[in-house]
Amino acid sequence: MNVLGTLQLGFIYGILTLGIFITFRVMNMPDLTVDGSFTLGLAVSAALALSGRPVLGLLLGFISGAGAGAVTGLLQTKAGIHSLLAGILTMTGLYSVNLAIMHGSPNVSLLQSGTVFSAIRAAFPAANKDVVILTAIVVLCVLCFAGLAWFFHTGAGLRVRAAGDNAAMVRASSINADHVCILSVALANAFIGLSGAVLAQYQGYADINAGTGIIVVGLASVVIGEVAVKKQTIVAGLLAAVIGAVAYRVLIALALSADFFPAYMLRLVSAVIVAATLAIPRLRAFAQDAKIKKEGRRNVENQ
Amino acid sequence: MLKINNLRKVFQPDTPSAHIGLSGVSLHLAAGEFATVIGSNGAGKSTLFNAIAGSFLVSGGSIRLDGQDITYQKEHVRAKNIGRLFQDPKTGTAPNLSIEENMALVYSKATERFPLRIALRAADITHFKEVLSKLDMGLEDRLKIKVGLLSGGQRQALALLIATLIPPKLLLLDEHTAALDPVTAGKVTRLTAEIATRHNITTLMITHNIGSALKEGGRTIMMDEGKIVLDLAGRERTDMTPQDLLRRYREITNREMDNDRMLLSGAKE
Repeated sequence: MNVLGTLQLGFIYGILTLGIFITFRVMNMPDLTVDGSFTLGLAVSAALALSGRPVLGLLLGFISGAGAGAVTGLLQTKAGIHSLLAGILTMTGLYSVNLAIMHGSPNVSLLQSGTVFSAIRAAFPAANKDVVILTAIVVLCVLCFAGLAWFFHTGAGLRVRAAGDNAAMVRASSINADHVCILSVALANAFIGLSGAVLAQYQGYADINAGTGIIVVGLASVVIGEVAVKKQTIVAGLLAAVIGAVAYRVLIALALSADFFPAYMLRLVSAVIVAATLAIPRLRAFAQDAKIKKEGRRNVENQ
Repeated sequence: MLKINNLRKVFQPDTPSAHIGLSGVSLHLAAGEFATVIGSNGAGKSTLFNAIAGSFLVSGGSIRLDGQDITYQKEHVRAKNIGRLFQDPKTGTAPNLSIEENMALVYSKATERFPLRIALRAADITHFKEVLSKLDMGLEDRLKIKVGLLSGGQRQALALLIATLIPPKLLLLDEHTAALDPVTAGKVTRLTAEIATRHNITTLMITHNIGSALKEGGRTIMMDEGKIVLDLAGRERTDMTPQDLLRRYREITNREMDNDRMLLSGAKE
């Protein structure tokens, strides 16, 4: 197992998981825009790296992700479309947009052009290249984490958290619930787009199918992180998202290197992890009911 | 302060299931006036509140608050001036936010602070502790616990406090003590009267407790079939017993008051 490479990917997906945490846990809404906005980040980032502006590519990956999220938010609030369908519509539309950005080609290679990572490597020629890259990714991920931790303690951040918790209260508090919703989905997808943008320049190519099923990867990371971090504050939740993303990569790398399953089984494994974790409360209740029944019957027999 | 003129609301108009929610309600409340509202199920009490708060647009008539026409103002815009509490204590607070965060959420919005500033500041915490201590529930020492862990009575008291942190021009209370046990309900009722008096807040309170309806505030409004059928104040009100009031209801409507939660007792303490 390539430890540094696994950690690098883990922290890149950590940024994605921060975004998924915002919609899935803070807003309490599964947002399916993700598959499209992640690929959008890759496409935009690759296109700008190709034209020699890799840093701008990361920035625009963030902004275009926010734009995609805002479209989903508008569909939900102003058009009154169910949140799941709104996400699916944006995601589906983005497939064409992403192909258009990639000039109709399903993949774009960055082998011939500079990326932020080649620039960082060049800046520290003496150091180990994997360590330098990992450091850069960790710094970016920590910045995203810190930014969100700060944001969720501002007035706007509290509104986002309250909207996911008790929408009626938010409306009664003279807060425009529609704006809060649009802002939240935009913010979440901004980080998802940024994650895609970083990945494109990290791996040196963008692929139109990079986002397929990525929501499940993000959700799996969120639930794995919650196993590791028990505390339920917002900062703990953000931390759990990053830890979960790294742990997910490590687990997958271990499973692959031990030949537990071939690489093409990854998505199925992720889906099973998410389904199983989300089912735990219900399974616990079943087990508890069974226990109560068993004890009740035993008491009757003993009388 | 509140001037409602000939307010009408038809639900699902022009369909076979059309029905009248409000049929010409007119009501004037002076600044600081506290009126209670009673009536059977479906009399239009909550519909009136929803119309005032802007949950839907009315079919006709007008609503003025403090001289401003708010008839077609958006719900969240008028919420700046209208505080609202419901029967379910869960509606007024966010369960996964701490007590201080719930307070900061509303406070930072109401004081129009820049939204990207930290919502909770040291000065706020001191202020929140001070107002919470007036509840006498020990909440001032538990600022960091999640509101979802509080009892229904504590949550409702907190919701009342939050709704009046910046005193609104109008307070709408929709059976806000109905889900509480009698002792807690009495406490929240007293607290309500105290806060409304202290800040001189114009208040409308729907209640299922006829004793409270006659005792709290200075005016009792009885609704039936989307209309105000009786408006009591002054001597006439103070002399009236709950039994008298029920008799008046029978005389006016030819029916018994049949609110499923109706309590005939005097205001329980």
